[in-house]
Formats: sequence, structure tokens, C-alpha cells
Amino acid sequence: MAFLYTLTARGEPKTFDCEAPMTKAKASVLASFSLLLFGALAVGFARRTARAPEQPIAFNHKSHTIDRKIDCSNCHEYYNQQAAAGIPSVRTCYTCHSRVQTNNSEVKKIFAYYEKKQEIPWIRLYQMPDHVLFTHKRHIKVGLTCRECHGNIGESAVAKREVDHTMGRCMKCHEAKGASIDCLTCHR
Amino acid sequence: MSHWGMVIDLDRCTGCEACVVACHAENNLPVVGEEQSYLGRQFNWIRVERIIEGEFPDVRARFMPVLCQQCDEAPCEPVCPVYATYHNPEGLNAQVYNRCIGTRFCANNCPYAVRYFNWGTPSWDAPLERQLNPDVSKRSVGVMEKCTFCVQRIRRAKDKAKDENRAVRDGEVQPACGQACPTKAITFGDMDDPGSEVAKLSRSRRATRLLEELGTKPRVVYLKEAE
Repeated sequence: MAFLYTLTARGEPKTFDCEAPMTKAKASVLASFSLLLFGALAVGFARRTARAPEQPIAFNHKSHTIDRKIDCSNCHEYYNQQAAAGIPSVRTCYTCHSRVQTNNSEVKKIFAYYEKKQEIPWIRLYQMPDHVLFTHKRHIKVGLTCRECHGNIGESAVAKREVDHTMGRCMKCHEAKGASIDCLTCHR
Repeated sequence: MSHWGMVIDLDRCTGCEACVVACHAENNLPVVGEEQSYLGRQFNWIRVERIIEGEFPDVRARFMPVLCQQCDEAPCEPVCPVYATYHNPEGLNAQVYNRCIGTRFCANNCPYAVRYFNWGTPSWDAPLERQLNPDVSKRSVGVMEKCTFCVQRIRRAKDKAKDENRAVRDGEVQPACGQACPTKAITFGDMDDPGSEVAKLSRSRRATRLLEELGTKPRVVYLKEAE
């Protein structure tokens, strides 16, 4: 009941006079505000379009998973054991490519990184914010497939962020599947 | 559903503050330094209150670790305008950092003064930033924080239990303060399980609760022999 007490507004909220004619000052404020809004939208749009950023190596998921029937877990090793599924290290690529497809121009880039003892600077498509604690392991153990959160990435030629990982999306699935919707499940 | 609770045996506490250090390490608490500390801006999710009794030379010090009492009728919860602090199904008084807007009403309404506000962006001097706990989020400026009963450890134990298809065992969850306590003064467990160590201890005749008369129903039980 105390909740209700704090939520009840004391006194009537002040109403704004919508009928008043627009003054010059008001118009300029409105103009600058809409400019800001447009700018913010433009920035937002730019971020959204980077769904398939240019990667250091033109990696092709499809040729690995469909054409050669390699399972996701061969490269994303920790997907069912840990919080992070794991972006494969250059050593993982080299293990196979030291023998296969050695003349491919993209594969040669792996050798360059391997010889420099450098990791490939892949650009991440999905990154949880700092205040979200997500674990792949639990989601895989209850029987979710990669596709449900990562879309068609495993069978596409170019890695693309097809699904937006918003809280709304998480909540919808948690509610539908009867998983915990307590805040502390993900935020702590 | 478990109902977590803690028992602190004051007759065992020596005031060594190992719990305070362990809590800092476990929960990514920043150390603010002397100046900010003087302004009351330090972070101690658990602190050891020192009570001096008697006159010299017949002096005696008593120690009392004070942490969030995870009250069942928490005064901090109804005053939050954005529901950033709420009671979760396990009876934990939770604080959602990304929802908090920093009104500080909760801290002002807490009779135990165990809520801490981030007056500045927390920072750690190198190389301390490398020992941050990845299971606990780093709080940002302008949000309130408090003891969570080491909820990340509760989650980890439940996760492990789920993998092994069993319930969480008594004593399996141990908060950082309890783990560090050299005299084993801090016991943690499920209050709803009558056979658990905490439930047994809380039925002791030595059991008391802090500021119980306020009606907050605290879930931390202190054991102390009456004199």
C-alpha cells in the first residue's frame, strides 16, 4: 500500500497552453530541437546499419557449416560450458588451415596473423552491456538452438547481426518459456 | 523456493574485518581514499561497528558486523520511485543498478545505514582493475548499491545444482564475508529449511535481531549471550 502512496501525485499537474501562438523564440527553440533530434536519429541509424561490418578476414560461415558440415562447437568451443561461447583464436583456424585451402587468399591472411603471434581482430556483432550477466551455457542446456538468438548467421556467407538483443526480446522469451523474470536473474 | 538468511555469532566475532576485505574483493567495491571517506562516501557493504564499554582501565570493546539486513518489510523499497529496489521471490532485497536514478530516498529511509551511493565514477588503481569480479557488474556514477547476500554465489550454486539435477545443499552457498571469517561467526543458508544450520541457530535462545522493534523483520540474526 505504501507503493500507492508514493505513486499518487500530490496536486494537479500543470497543463501547458497549447493554443498560444508560436513566438519567434519558441520557433527557434523548436528548430534547434528538431535538428538535434534529426542528428540523434542519424547517429542511431548509422549504428544500426553496421549490422555486417567489414571483418579483417572475409570469413564464410556457410562454407564451413553447410558445405563441410562442421559443427558450431568446433570453433565456438565454450558455447555449452561457459558464459561466453568464445570467438575462435587464430590457433583454432590454423589447426585446420595449415593443411587445407592453403592457397586461398583469405586463408593466407590467417598465416600472417599466426606468424605475427597476433589474434585476428574480429569485429563483434553481439556484445552484452556491462550490467547484463548472460550465460550461453544455461540457455543451451535448456535446449535453445543458436538460431533462436543469432538468426541465420551459421548458414550465411557474410556474418550479419540479424537479431537485436534487446531486453524486450529476452523478456518475451523468458515469459513464454516460463523462465525466471526476476531482475536479479540477469542484472546483479 | 529458498528464503535466504544469515546468522552472525557476536560471541565469536573478534572484529578483524576480514569480512570487509573479502566483500570489497568479491563485489567490486571501490576504495575511495581518505578524503572521500571523511565525507562519508566510502563503500562498506559490510562494516564492523566497534562499541567501547566501560572506563579505563576496565575497558572492553564489542564488535558488530552490520550489513544489509535484507528486511522482509524493507523500508527502502516503498520509497523508490522507479522500483529499482524490490523484493525478489527468494526474499532478497534486490537493487537493480541499471534502473536506479539516484534519488537516494532508499538510503535515507534505511535505519541500518547500509546503502551506499556512487558520488563519483568508481575507479581502481592499476593493477586492481584486473581483479574485478566478472560475475558482478561495475556500478556507475549516480546509482545506489548495497549488500546482495552475494547473489552471484547463490546463482552459481543453483546453476551447479541444476546441472547435477538436485537441490542446493545446506552450506553450499557461502557469501564472501562468511567464507573469510576466521572464527566462523557468519553462517548462511535457507531459513525456510528447518534442518538448515541457519534455521537451527536462529532458534537459539541467544538470537536477537537488529532494531527489531521497528518492524522491519530483518533476516540477519545476531547471536549474543545476555549478561
